[in-house]
Amino acid sequence: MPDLKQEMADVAAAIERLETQAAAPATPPAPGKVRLRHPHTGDIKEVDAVPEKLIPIMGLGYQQVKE
Amino acid sequence: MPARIQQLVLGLGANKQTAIGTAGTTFLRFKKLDTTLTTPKPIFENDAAEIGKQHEFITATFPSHYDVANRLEKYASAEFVTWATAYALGNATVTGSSAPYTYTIVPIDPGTTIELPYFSLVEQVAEGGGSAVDNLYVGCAIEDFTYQFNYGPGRSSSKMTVNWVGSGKLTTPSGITVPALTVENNMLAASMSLTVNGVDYVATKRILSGSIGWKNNLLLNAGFYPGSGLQNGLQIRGRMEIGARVPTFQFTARLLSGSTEYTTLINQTTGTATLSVNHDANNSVSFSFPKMAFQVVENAEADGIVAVTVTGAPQYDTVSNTVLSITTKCGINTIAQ
Repeated sequence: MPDLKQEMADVAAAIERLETQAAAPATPPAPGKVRLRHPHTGDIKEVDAVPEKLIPIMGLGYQQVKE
Repeated sequence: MPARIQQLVLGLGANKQTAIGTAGTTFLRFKKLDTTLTTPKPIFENDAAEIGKQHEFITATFPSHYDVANRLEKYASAEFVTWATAYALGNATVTGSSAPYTYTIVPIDPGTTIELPYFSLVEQVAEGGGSAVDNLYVGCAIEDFTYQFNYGPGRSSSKMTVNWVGSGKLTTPSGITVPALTVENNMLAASMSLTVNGVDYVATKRILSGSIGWKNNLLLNAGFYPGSGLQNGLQIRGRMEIGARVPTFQFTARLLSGSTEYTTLINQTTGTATLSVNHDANNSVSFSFPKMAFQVVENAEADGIVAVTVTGAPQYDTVSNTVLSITTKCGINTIAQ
């Protein structure tokens, strides 16, 4: 029972950390760059904001991160 | 008092919906050429074919589902082509801190998702101080688009046609205040540049007409899954997934002695195909097939001049990881975002 209580406390703390991170203002990408994120893996790439650089990454399913 | 079709106020969702059943709140108002009004068509079944009634006639009807679909035929403006291609291909990135904004658009990766972004669409026709039509269609997706260009003067030299499908979810009256007409920047075919497999068809004054198309072959029946939802007792779709998508490219050019189309076909040579049109430096569209072979080459005739019609076979390119990419510039930064 104490283990279960500790587990629940850990989960609650993890959720709180995630919520804090989500609420924190994201650092904008460097000038002339766009941030793309893979919706499944969560991998983030910062790419030059020009179509020839964006297309190969977007073709793999990466989507623009709204800053 | 009857209403005229010119009364139509057409609003297309700018921002994508957050879910198929959640209406969009931002709209772009467009003019169009076709005179079709969308009908929220309820489909009913009957028992005519069932035996045991002692006759072949209907004795009862049963609600089935909503069928919502329509088309949009327009002169090709940078704004509308951006809207259509962003929702049809599904993965759009917008860059730029002020107008003109640049859109980079590629097909969604089916390993990531098989659902396109959904948009809302509103149609309103004022009549007699009220509305003859005031419908908001929620959860719509694009089935196909065709960009067509032709020789000849005027805006009809460059057109865009879209077929869209709705989930069936409907709000009447819409409760939407549609903004003023979008200022559109039409792109005439006279602005075109076209290079296919290393041949510049504009510099040689050979190109006559052609089209670029994309069809999603949406899995419409699969949208009516157990639990997809009901409206007025009729089933509505809870998803619209892409089927086997098909890009198309066809063009007709004047045939010269040094024309290479037939050789390209026989050798199955591949190369890039890029078609660009613009209104000005701030409003433009560029379609790019990274790897194009020819599938059919047929001799033809246009205005008594010998020509050749080429049907392309776009191939998936493992360098750019796509079969088609579209780059546009326009003054709107909310499309499919």
